[in-house]
Amino acid sequence: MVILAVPTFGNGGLNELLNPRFGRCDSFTFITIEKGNIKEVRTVSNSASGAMGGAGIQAAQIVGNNGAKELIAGFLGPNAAQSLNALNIKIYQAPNQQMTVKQCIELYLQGKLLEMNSANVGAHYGMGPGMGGGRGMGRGAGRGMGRRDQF
Amino acid sequence: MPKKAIIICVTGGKGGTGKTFVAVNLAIMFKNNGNDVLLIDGDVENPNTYLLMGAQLENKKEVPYFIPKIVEEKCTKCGLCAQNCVAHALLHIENSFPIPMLTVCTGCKLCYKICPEEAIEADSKVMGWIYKTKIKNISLLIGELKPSEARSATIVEALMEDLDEIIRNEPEKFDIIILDTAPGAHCDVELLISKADIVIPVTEPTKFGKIDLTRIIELIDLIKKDYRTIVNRSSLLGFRDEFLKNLKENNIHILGDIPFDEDIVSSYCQGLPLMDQSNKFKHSKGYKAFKIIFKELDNWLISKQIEITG
Amino acid sequence: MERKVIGVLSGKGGVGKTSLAASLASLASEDSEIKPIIIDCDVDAPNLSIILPFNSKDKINKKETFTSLKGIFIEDKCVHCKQCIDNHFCEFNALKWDENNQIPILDYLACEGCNACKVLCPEHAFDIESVKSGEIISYESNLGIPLIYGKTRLGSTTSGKLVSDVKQYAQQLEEVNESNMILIDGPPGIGCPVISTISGLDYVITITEPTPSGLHDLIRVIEVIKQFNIKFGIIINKADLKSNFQKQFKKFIKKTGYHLLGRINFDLSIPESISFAKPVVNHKPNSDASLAIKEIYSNLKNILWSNS
Repeated sequence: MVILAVPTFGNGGLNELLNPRFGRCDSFTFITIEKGNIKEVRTVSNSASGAMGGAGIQAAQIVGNNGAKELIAGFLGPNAAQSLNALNIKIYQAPNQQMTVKQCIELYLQGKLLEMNSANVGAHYGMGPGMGGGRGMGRGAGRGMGRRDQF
Repeated sequence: MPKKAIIICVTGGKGGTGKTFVAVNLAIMFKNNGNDVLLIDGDVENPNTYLLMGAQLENKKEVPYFIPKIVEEKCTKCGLCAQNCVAHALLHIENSFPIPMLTVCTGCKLCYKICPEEAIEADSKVMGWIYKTKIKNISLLIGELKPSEARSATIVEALMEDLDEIIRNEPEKFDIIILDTAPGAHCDVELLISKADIVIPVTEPTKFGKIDLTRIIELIDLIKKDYRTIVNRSSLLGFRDEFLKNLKENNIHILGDIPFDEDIVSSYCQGLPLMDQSNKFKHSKGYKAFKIIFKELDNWLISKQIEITG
Repeated sequence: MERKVIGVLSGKGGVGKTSLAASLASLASEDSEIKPIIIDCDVDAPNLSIILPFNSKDKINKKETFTSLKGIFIEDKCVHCKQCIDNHFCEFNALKWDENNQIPILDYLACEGCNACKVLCPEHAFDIESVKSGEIISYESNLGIPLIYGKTRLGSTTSGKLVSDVKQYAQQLEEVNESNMILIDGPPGIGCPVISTISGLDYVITITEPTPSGLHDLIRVIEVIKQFNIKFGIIINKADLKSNFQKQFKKFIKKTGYHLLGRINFDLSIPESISFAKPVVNHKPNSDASLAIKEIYSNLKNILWSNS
């Protein structure tokens, strides 16, 4: 048995289209697959879709918290890719055309989706954002190795 | 009254206008006039001062930066650290250990401070380096960001802490301190400008030069500092007079201009500063122009009642 | 043709990134095989829009970005316990103590909006709000192709984040779906805005000049590009600069085996074209610089699409 996550539009579901944006998709559709058959379908709205920053990381967290071990996705930012890798979630590249979740699952079950490994995930996904915080006004941030006894 | 070093910040907005060239040669001129000079390279993404002076990077010192380290023996997987991290730099799935996402971590240490189990340790990584060297009797302090790291401000801040320490512990050591900045008008540049007594933006007579100059002057005004502009390569397109006139009409203060001069390029490529005492470039146009600029700078400092001892 | 994302970077500033990007954009706009989109990610000095201005004033879209977070102090809740200072809540030195009023002063510029004061203050006397960090502007340029750029707000800059925002904004545009070339003019340096620019590129054009600092800064930016495992080529601008450094530069290229994408000799038609606010390939199409850039463009196309 494996739980597969698909970023979707609207409320999600088998007949909804796959959303090429991962971190800011409207919802996730989780499909439980057992012995090559769809056993259960659940949808979860993506609370990270309106996040100011770190949407990719938060979305990965949602995927992980719902027990998914595999994901079909279009565009992934490096942070999302890194998070999914850290959570050992397998990523399959969605076909570059509009497609319903059902059609995606069919391709998946036929073994026609390409798996992305850690080497090409991150560097080559869309134009996603890289550093979240970056050159903020981080003046001297975190350099003092102060001890905890202050607290 | 103990003497206080004058801090001059050389900046410019646009890249490649000659900031480092001006900073290095001002340092040489002040030194030739008998001053003790400290030159700080605050363009930490691409420090070039030492190349122009033919110096080597010496006395390397690491600049460490906080990163969280999860102590699994103590961690109860409660997720409090992840919930409170604005940067989402801790990835947490129910019933598992949080995973630090170092590329987005800002180093705020909140996770380390709030963990009820003290299960987060303050680990560190190298963000870059600071070098200290001396060449041609000029002290050099150089900051360098490690390639592929992003937080240049950390290195600039570390440089400024070193500067504060010098001013505190050895206030008599230097007469003149020159700060060379990165291009742009971001926080690294801003921090250096805010440390200075006076600011010298360097520009060139092009549209881009003008626009970026206007932007950096806006920033200088915002920090409430006094400035005088140097127009470099002023003869390049035959727009010199028009450009200078245009700046004056826009109430931009000007210190002087330096014509385009192949000797400057040549000095640049040899690592031998134009104003070097070897006097190799004494007859060049650039040399003469720089002398005039230095005189103007001196006048300006006197008019500001900043006296240079030395 | 498959869509490719190309960035122009240099390490050193002022070596011709924007001039080159403008000319490549112009050549791409005249190329029947290519549907380009241009993005200026030099958010500290976004100059590409000067050379490639808008077609019609009505079609300019502006969007303010509020991606910077900043702390605010709520004086009513403060009980003057000074814990925020004594216990060093802020790692960014944004909290100082006002002895007269016995309250903390929050240094707006130094604040990172990290949430620490808000979480740690027992009286909840701090909060975090989002503030304007800059703006994103998009329009149809006079080349008839979309141009998108970001501009930081002075004194509140988080330039790397704005670069990400600009790229994300561009990605949502309808025109992206039809385009097959996204050309990005990058910022100088190797810091955060550069790293944000590099992520997701298919190819990087690095441009430099044959001087010691030009080479030094090129080596540094290549080090960053390699971390991302992205293909790149080198363009030498002012390639005929009279300098005894030329030899060393040539040696470097030979030794490393890096791909030399092209050479542009020193040509006054480039600064001149900037003064006329035109890409050099339009201003003086037959100048040495223009011919060199045209050759670079066709080399680039070969590299990017030869396999498909």
